[in-house]
Amino acid sequence: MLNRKAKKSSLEKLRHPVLYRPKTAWADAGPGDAFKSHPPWSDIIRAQRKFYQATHEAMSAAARASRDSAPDSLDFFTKPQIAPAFALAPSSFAAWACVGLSAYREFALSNDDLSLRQYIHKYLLNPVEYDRDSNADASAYSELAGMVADCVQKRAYLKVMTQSPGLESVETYRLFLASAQDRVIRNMRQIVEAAVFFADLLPGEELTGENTVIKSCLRIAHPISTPYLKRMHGATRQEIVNEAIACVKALAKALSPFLPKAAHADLNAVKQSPKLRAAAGSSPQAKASGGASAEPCGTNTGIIPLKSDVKTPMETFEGYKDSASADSPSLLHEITAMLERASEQKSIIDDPRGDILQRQLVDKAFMESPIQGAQVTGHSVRIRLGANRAERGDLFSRTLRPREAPEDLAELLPQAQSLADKLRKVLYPSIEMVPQALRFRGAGQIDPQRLPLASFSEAVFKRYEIAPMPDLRGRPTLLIACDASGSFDEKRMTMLKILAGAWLLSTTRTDIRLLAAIYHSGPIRRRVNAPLVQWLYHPQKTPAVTKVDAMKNLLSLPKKGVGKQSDALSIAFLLEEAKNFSKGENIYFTLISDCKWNKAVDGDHTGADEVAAVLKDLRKKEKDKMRATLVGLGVSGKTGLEGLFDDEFLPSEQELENPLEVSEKIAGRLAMQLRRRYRDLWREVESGQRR
Amino acid sequence: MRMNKNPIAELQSILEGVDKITLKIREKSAGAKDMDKLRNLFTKPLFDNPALSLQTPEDLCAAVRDAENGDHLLQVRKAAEGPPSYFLGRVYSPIGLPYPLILEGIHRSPHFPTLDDSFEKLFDRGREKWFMRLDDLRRPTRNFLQIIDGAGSHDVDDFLIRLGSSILGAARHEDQIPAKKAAALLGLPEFTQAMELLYFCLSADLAAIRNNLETKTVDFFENALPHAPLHGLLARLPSMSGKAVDALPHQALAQYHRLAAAFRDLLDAHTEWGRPPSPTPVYKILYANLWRIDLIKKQIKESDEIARAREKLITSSNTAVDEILKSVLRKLNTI
Repeated sequence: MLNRKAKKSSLEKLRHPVLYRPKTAWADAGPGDAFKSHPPWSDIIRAQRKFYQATHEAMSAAARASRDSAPDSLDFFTKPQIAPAFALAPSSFAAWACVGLSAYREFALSNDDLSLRQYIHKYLLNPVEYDRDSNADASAYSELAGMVADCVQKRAYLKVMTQSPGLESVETYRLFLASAQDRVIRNMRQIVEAAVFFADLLPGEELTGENTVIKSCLRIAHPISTPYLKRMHGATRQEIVNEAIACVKALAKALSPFLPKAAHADLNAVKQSPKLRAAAGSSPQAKASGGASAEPCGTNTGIIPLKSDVKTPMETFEGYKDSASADSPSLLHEITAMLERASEQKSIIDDPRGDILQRQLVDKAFMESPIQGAQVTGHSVRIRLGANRAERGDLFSRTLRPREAPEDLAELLPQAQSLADKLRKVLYPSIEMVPQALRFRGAGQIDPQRLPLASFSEAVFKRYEIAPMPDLRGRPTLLIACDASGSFDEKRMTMLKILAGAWLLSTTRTDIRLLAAIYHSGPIRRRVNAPLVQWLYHPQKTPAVTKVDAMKNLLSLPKKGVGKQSDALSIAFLLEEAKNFSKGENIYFTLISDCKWNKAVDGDHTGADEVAAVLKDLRKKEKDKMRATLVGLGVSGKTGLEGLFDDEFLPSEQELENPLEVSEKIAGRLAMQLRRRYRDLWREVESGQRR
Repeated sequence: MRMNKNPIAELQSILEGVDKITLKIREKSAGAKDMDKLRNLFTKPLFDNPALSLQTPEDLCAAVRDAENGDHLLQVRKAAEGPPSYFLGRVYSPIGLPYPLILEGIHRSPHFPTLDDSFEKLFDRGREKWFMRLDDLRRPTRNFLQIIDGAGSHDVDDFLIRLGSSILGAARHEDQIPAKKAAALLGLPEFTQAMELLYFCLSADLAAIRNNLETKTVDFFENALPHAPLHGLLARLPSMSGKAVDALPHQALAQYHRLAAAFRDLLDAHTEWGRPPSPTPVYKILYANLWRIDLIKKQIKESDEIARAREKLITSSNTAVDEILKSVLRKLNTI
């Protein structure tokens, strides 16, 4: 029976959390969940692991397919291409398209014997020479032939790849591109792509709209490209190259009547071309109009534009052009610019908008995608620069991706292990709230010690107090932040790897939560270079199964630091992250820097002032919950932040010559710091200061 | 600064004006006056702020998001030609559900890219997110609740939020989009309904829904949004014991795997497609034309292979629904 009285209660529950079992709980997380925002972070990490594993396997397969043998090294020519995941397609489909594009890029970059341009170099320079009947403009013909060659080249790559095992995802990328194509074909590039890439996928004439010229052109192009493409299937490499060359020449020749004419040629030749006339005459529209010439495409010449990506808004105002007054061009220009502004995205801190990204992916099909490697997240960070002043700045964060390099790992592991063994025994103190039973002290005549014997309730006779005790195991958060800008040389980077590796190993199977990151600036996506924090290890972000597995991330570190760091912004972001992550437990913050502080936000403060302000602010908020150590690499004089750190260690340039030794010293200093902290905590508890 | 007019209503009227002229441009019937109008619409200050207009899309979207109760959302999408397309709506983000809900579509440009009737990817607070669409259910809900136009908007919202955060929130998932497109392409409503029933059994907190289920909600799936499998389950749910409710997801998972296998067979079935026509698997046709299902619907030929896979999928869908509902009945009889 239904609960008819439920109305009121359900309305009350309206704002209450809904108990919901995410799909990942019953169908497991797959690569498609890797870039979603809503599943729990543990599922996202699992999904990302699967996604990057699939990408790695596909790229390895592509490398094998291109070199006809196992690759010498597992270093790839390209990074995972992840832009399709941020476009508008369904997540799972888009994720596999990313895998396919990554594999394609790896194949294309590591392949040279299939490069068509080297075989038909002379033809591409002046195709008119090889096509005596053509009266097309030489430069337009050359451009068309180049366009066709590029498309056929890519299709040939696809044919080779789909014959190789483990590269099925490349086909998914082709499907992704097909799905993202415009609903209406407008230019020659789209015609060539429809004929070469998507002849077996797209509906065909439905995409030409009402344009009979484009319809005719497609009718000519399809039957020409298809036999060549079919013959490529199952062919040897040399046969594929031969078929591809023949296809380029045949297709370019067939499409050349739709190009602008050479200056000497008869402008009406297009309309008199037998092929065009036959094709146009057979269309229903043309028949209806008595088989007359084709309808113009954008212009009144019957010529198809080569690659004007899409019609500009101004070009679409044809009706207006007819009725416009003399001042119309300026107005049209103004409106065109206005419409461009109305649909553009300026913010760099946000993800690229899906529609814009999708268009970029279609326009640059099979090319490097605008987002590569790991997902980058934009953050707007607020830093307080004094009592009444705060500034905001933007930075990005991402996790370093693991690098499969067994030899490098075998080299790093023993170095880190020796240091980790020394650190492992170090106790990390924290405050633990321990319930302690208190003896009940009655105020009257009853002997309190006898009362429990009467089997009364324990709740009555036992009282508890929550006493803070130093926790030997501890659950502190250890944050290692390292300035990895351009001044960070190879030896310092080695030191960082050993140090971070040692901490990763020494905190395995403990409750210590490690956050390690480098900060500098770097490329975020195409044309965007900004302050960047890269996580070496973050329990909720690093797609690693264990901390030892996470050491593979350290192998991805560049040999030298790059870019220019934004100290205050990066430190503020990292400390905020550690604060949120630690949930009230102690934070041990270690900053490794050359102490050349950069300005991060606008204003008259120096870089050192900004960092000092950030630290002061956080110290004020966290009080005694944060211990900070500064490791000033090669700093001989002052750091500029005296008194703000609990401990300072300034290894000299000479000491830095030996990375293992200096990392051991840093680790030792940290251990001392922790031991001292532990002792202090005990003292405080014993003296009753900490209640 | 006091605003004289509801800024959202003002924005809506501007967007409607833009769409009218866009239509004229597409039909090539726009004149000089239309161009002037278009310029005025794009330069008109909004939210009583001279710096805000359609020409500053990011600032405008942020202003809309902050307006009123913070539940409005403006979306701008670049069109292949002409002015951008717009969506202006009201949204709600229930705690604990993965998808924010679109409660009302105040304005949707005719060419605004829409992949699915149930889900829509919208750019909100710096990233693209999937939203669950309930705006199409607004009118049926209004009719169902017998609320006359212009009144009881809050009641409709409440009903849709309850629906979206409990039953539809569990029954629908963005991963279903390709399957729903396949169902639309080959006419398989049974498959969509079976899939939603299984997702509901697997994702919902059935015990919580059982305790709070209203007659009205159950009736909604009979009269306003006909969904026989969901209606069948919901009607029986309040009488089920905790043990029976607990057993449902296990059964649903087994059926889910069977249904997924049948769907895979359909995707692998071949039909004549392309230029020149050659045997092509359904999955290629489907995924390559996800945004053009309407265009290819009439063109796809049902081969013997497809017909067989289709039959199998229909049988699997019916079996999945029957098994779930029968098991519910069996458990009810044993109580």
